[in-house]
Amino acid sequence: MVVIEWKIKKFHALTTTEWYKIAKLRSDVFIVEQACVYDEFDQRDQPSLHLFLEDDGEILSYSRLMPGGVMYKEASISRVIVSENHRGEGYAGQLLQQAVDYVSQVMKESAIKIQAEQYLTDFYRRFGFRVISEPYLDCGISHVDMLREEETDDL
Amino acid sequence: MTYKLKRFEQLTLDELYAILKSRVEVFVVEQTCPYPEVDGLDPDCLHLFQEQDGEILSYCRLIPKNLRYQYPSIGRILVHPNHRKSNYGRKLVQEAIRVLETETKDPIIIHAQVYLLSFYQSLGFEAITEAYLEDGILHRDMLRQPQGKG
Repeated sequence: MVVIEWKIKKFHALTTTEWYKIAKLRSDVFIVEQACVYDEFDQRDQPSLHLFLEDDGEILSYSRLMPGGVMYKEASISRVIVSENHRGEGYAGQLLQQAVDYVSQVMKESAIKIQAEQYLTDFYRRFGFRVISEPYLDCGISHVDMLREEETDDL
Repeated sequence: MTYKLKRFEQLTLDELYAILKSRVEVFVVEQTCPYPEVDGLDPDCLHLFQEQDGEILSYCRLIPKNLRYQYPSIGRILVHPNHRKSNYGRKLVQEAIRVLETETKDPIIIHAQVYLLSFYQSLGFEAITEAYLEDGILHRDMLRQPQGKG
């Protein structure tokens, strides 16, 4: 049995083959599937961490984890993807849990801000995010900003 | 200005990033075309480019024959927007032709954007199809026969 494991890498630890597969998946989903004309490779990849699940050379799921100060003053999770052939198999939940745990526990970021597609707000709520903006259109798709703050133990 | 000519495995991560970034900037954003820019063919192509301080000035990929077309092809030909009208496009395509002609006696096929027809004609390509839409942009196929050395 093939063991599938999540990988998390700094940009310069990626191989060119890994980066190419990630770039292809991001182009396929965010440019082609969402019919969105925009600068997909925005130079925020170099300071980010890249979390992905690879099985037999295919990337099934991906997101990038941005430290605070790269996109927002808070940390962020972006480019959240499950490949088209593997939706509905529970990978998105695993991906978000890994991402949130890594950003809060390893990167020690106390707040995570995301730009969420509006129809996914209930999904993100499960991981502690709350809506902090009115809906707005980005690339013709309705989004809201969401924020997750570490709960303090203070009484 | 010298050219780099690399197989996919010879590209550094930073070079690959800069190449894909400039391709998306030109072919997706500038041409307003949400098409599969990163199409999976690149690992089998040669990549020819001019680079300055980590930025791509001009770029194209050389597609081996029988990968996408029956003949070898030159694709994703671009010059950075800040460096147009500096003859980089012509020099790049001439270099691509030179590289291909040292390796093969096959003709070279390109899917040329129609507004560049006379540019490619001046480089020895002849249109072999009528105009057609590909990804929403008018193209014609053009073929360049190998030129005798005389």
